[in-house]
Amino acid sequence: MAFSLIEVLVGTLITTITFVSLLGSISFGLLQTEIARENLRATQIMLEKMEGLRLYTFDQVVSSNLFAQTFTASYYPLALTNQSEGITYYGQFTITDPGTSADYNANMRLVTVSVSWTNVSRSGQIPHTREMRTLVGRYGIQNYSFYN
Amino acid sequence: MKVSLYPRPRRRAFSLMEMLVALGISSILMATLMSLTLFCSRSFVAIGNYMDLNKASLNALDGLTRDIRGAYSLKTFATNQLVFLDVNSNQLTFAWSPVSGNLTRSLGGTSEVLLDNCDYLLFDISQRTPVTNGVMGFYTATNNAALCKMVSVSWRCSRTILGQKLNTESVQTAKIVMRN
Repeated sequence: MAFSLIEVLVGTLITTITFVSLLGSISFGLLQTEIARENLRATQIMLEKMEGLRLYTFDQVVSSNLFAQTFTASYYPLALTNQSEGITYYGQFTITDPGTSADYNANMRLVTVSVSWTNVSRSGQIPHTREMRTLVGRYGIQNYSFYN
Repeated sequence: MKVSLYPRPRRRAFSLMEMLVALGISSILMATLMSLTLFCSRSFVAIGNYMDLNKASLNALDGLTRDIRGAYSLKTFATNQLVFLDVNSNQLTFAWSPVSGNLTRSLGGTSEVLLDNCDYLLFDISQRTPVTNGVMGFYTATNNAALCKMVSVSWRCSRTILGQKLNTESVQTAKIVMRN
């Protein structure tokens, strides 16, 4: 006894759905891993900026032009000449009044580092943004780091 | 003439053409399945490798950051070796060997491997004076280790899958300010 046409069609459909689902899952998993790696690199870039901030005096943070408002960094900074540096991260550095009601508000600044990048995948371009904030105080840790 | 009492039922077999078509389709399916399995296996091994390397990198960076932040001063500098003095004047050394691919931490006669499978590592040092061209950076201190206030480090760890390093790399870059 052979399979009828309808049995073959149903069997084919089930097999197709199974394989498409499997491939979709694998593809999704790989994309998530890629996004996680890009996030990690974004964190590295922001942490580098934040760490460097600890070497500036409060006056330099407030009133100097030592900080570039925008910067770029690559995903793979150690690329050799024949390798791609991968996606580009576009960063922004902003120093603002923290806007607290405390009487020491003038002795503080809110520093924000943000990076944006676009993840290119099969499903299209996915924009990402990550941000890191810290408060800098006139009598904060940078005095200890800078003068020691 | 002998006539069987139980004549064999007549069976239909594949014709040559049917057999060839079936073989062709099966071969294509098997080849697709094999290549898919190979691709998936390589991808999963690559992800596993990356996770392992990344975990090791983060652990190493945590240890490195803790020690450098707490170091008293930098004694000597090379692009693959830093020798610090800690607050008790003990010599603390971080050295990377391009041959073994190990980053080693040595303190008081004891050594431990912070990182292995490391095929590139570069130390750089800066002083506390910021450059004035609007770029957030600091003047180098490579000519005088005593002026060092910030250490930049970047490394790349990798493993191979069937002799290839595709997607099995973990890159780490960091800047660490000496607090003391």
